[in-house]
Amino acid sequence: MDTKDSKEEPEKYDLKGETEEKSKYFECENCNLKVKYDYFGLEPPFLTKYKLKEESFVMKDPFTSVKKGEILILGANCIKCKKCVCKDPNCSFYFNGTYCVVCAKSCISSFPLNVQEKLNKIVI
Amino acid sequence: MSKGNYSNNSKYFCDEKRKHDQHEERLTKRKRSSSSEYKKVEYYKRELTRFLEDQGNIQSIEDFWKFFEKYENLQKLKKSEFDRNFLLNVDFKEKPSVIYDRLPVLDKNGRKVNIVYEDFKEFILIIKVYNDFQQRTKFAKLKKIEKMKCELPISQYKSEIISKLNESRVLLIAGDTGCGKSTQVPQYVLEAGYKKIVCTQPRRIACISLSKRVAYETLSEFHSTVGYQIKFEKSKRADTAIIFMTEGLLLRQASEETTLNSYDIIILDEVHERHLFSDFLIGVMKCLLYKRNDFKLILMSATINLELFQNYFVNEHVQVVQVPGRLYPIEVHYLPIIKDPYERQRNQFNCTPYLQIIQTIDEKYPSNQKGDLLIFLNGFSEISKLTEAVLNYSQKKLNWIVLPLHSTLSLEDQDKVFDYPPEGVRKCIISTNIAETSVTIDGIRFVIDSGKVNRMIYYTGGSFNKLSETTISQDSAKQRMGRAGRTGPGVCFRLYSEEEFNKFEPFTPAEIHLVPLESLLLYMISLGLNDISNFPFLEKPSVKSLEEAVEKLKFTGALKLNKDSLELTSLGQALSNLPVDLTIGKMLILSTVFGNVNSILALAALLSVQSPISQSSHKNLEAETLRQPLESSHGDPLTYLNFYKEWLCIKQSSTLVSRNYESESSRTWSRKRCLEEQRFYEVTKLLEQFRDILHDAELLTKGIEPSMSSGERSIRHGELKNLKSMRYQMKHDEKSRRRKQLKYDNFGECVEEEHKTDLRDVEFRITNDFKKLQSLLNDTSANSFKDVMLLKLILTSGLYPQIAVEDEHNYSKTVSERLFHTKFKNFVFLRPTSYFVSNPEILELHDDDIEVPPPNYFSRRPVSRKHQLLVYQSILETKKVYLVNVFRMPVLQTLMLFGKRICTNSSFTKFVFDDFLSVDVPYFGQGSKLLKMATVLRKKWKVNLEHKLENPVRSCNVNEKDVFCFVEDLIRYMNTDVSYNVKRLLTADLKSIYNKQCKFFEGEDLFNPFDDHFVINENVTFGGVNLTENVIYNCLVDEEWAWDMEEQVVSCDATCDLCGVRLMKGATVFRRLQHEVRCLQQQTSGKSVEEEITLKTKSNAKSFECDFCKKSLLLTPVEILRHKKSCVS
Repeated sequence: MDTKDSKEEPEKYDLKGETEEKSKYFECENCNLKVKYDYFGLEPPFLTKYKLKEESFVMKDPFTSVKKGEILILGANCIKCKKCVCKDPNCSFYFNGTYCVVCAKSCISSFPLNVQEKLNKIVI
Repeated sequence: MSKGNYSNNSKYFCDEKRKHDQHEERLTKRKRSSSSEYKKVEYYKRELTRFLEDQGNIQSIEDFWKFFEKYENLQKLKKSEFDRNFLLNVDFKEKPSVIYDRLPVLDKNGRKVNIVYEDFKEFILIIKVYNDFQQRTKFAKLKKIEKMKCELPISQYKSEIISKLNESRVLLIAGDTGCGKSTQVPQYVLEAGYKKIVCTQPRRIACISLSKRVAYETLSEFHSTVGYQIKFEKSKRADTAIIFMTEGLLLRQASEETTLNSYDIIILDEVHERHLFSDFLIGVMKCLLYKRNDFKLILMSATINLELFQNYFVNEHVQVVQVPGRLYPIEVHYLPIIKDPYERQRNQFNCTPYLQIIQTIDEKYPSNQKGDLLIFLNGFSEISKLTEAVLNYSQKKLNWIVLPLHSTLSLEDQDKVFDYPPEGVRKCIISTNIAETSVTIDGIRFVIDSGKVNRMIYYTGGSFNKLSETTISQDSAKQRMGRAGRTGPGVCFRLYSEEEFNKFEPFTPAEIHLVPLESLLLYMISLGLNDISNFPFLEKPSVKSLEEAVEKLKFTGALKLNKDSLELTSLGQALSNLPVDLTIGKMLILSTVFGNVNSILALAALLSVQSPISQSSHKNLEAETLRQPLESSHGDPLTYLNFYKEWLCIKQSSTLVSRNYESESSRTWSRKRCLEEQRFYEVTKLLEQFRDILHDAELLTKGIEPSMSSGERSIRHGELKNLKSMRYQMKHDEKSRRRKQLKYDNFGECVEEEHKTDLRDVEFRITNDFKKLQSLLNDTSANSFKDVMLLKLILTSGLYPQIAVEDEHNYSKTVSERLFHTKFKNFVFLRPTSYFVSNPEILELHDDDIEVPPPNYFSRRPVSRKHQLLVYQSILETKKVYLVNVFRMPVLQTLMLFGKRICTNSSFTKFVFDDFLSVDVPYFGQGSKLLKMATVLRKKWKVNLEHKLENPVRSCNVNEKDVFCFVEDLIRYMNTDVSYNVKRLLTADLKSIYNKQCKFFEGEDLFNPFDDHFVINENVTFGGVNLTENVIYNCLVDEEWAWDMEEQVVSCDATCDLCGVRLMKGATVFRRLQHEVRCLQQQTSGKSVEEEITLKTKSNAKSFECDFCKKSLLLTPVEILRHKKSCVS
């Protein structure tokens, strides 16, 4: 899966440009949310009991202790247009794969009825 | 199961599923046949707890079951026509069938757990849905944080800030409160790629709250990316990128360059507050910019007095970013208090105007409109008065929760102001100026500004602090007003008129003009900034205050003048390494000489924190009675030491969680005695910190930890493990705790807290194990007179010349009216909580103690061997002038040991100490004997101290015996019986007491009986001769009784007790002393004295030619008369 466009490199500034470990940033192409992420893929090493059904951008849960082994899924690439979108209900929709809102709306008829209802509520 | 293939990337999914399903079918059949008693999943709530935790990684089981119920109910209503799994992006790693086998086997009754496999699959699905729901909430939370960050006014300036920072080495960010600079700028800088960012704060409370906030915003609450470091604690690790610390700490690090070098961005926040060390820090940074070119400096300030900073950094090409604050409109009402000129108590604080405004708020604004009230008052007593009044006011409607806020409150109590009130109730926060800039409380809609502030001002002339009520500056008034408009439009009531406002000074004066500068100066010189007048001060302090500081440092012996440039002595060098007050530092150093380190550490720590006796303690008789057995008749510091020791005892005997009522927790113990337990925790931490400081300064070797048996060690290990997990849990709870809702009834809370474990207690027990406690306890006890006296001597050595004597007329006054005098400040009182206020008789002379003066001597002042003076820690002027932390010492012994300039007459019967006290010792020989002892001890003291400072970590054993003997000598000296009276000198007296003539030693025997290495020389200023660094002999104008006494001695023949040589009539007092000392010296060295004391001239002798016998003689006036008489007859 193409992840290049989402791996935002930290912009370089003159003084300390040569930072050893470059932070990986996740950036939603819909709402411009920009957050550092820890892992991209299906099986985050810090997740013991669960696995992801699609390759996603994941960070260790910032709201609980690291020891608890919880994660926070930030977003994934749209399975249609490959755009990188975040989990915000106004940015993406999941139904057996992540759709960005635009793609979801465009193929709305392929979803079951009550899913369509939900989709209709989202205003772009 | 519905098999609709709605997605195009789920092919492999389906294959998997088919295989899966076949397997499952078999499974279902088998499981179903094994038993017939199936139960619903909910039935096994209790048994499934472990399963949910281990297999589902669910944190809050309770929460899950609530969700479970709701979800089940919802599903009953609508039947989904597709597999709900399609909506979930997370799945279990293992197949449901595998997980099914992990179900618990037996239920609580020992029966087999029976769950239908279909039910189980549904259960697994709900777990996943629950997790999905959790993800959504967490993601929403993250979004909210990001959104909030974006909405801050400063966020629009983010790129400007970063680009200007890249262009320049100094950046000034000026933004009004609420623009978000303190929280955002460190984050921006971090994002820009800087890795070691330090941000200073003037207050430690802000360091903690900011580090918490920034950690939360950078989503690293549970990492160590953001940390803080304050005087008592730090949360910093190797990977910490942003660290908040107090200004003082960064300054300390400026001397250890290695640490400072590791920062690439130094942010100084709140520079507009103009604290002494923040001003100095700016100066140091300016110098550092030229020394190092690999770091950048960011100054952050409110939009006050920007030009000052801009001009200061003009040569460094400072860049400026100005951020407007986010303020909603604020209505300002000027409501000056009109005072009744005939009212007798018109200067007293009056609550009425405040209550009236509160009433107006109640009437005008419906209670469903939210918004709290913040009242700015000047001091503690005003705050407590108004707190009570507002409580009374709201008693009926119960619609106000009153929260005082000032720096003496514990952090926990301070935190209460952030909690939210119940519906329909407003918070009323009554605060000092702490809420002006440092503590920011959201939700404030109303502000009442008294227009007053208590400002601590140091007066150079008298060396005392005055806490005086003054009007605030215009700029503070604006800050106060601004607090009302942070979350919505607000109202500000100013209890002064607009004209008055216009008369306020525009800016609050910088601290450098208000405080003593010794520590700053000492610190500067230790950094090599000797040329004080050329240091780039942001604002130059007055010459006078600098001069006074230099004088003080010289007096303490920290500074000496070497070829016109100031230089640190070894003591000064050591003192500058100790980040404590000068006096405390001196005590700490001395404790390492005398070896009673622990007690002094405890005392020094007790003197460095606020008094452990709570301010609300007065008139609480019960508490006073309970405290009584622990009080020390020697004075306040030793009383505090006893409190602390007892508290340690209680700690040791009580268990962590007190379930039984028999053992009293230290918290209860403290509260019953009106003691602030917080202070003792602080003391414990500070004490260890002082110890570390001494280790670092190489004045103390690391003590060998008391060895533990393996059994003890394993017990301790277990205990520690337990404690640490407890701390972890508590800290975690604290973090995940939401803002607490305030309860109306504040009194009920205490009972509940009683049985709650105290985090401070847990931390205390982690750092202090039983054995360590035991040794601390043993060492801090000062039971024998010897111990106490030694402690007092060390304290005195640190605090001298801070001494006070009683007013002569005290006997006729009530206890609270008794007055004391210090050298520079007359008419001072004891603080109401001082030991001597409740026990005034300790300082009084009893009739038995007053001695009959010798014949010829007359004075109104009683002669006694029990005169005492008070040594104090500081003078504080509030409404009255108070001595803070006093203890008693015998007068003459103390003065002779610590006096800087000791002047005496020719017969050692009169002494004047440091232009302050004059002592008559009308018994011949007592004065010289005591002075002789004192000079020997002083010399030893100095030698010991220097030896210690030169070879910091010397092997202790060598000198232990010496020190022991020295201490014995000191105690013996302090107990020497000598009878005298004491007079406080007035300025007028000083003009006439010195004879200013040096006429004694021409052609004389120059043997110095006080110090044979010290060359006797003339003293031009006062007269007489210098016998030691501190003693000037024969410079006082003698009074008649002294004359007579000398005459009597001189006119008698005496025989030396040691060598039997006759001391001829006419030999001067000094000659006799010389002989005595020489005799003693030679006796000890085994030689005999071959010297005859012959007639020698006296100091005031003149050459005289007798008209009758025609002899020319050297005689004193009295002798001349006598000679004439005899010649005539």
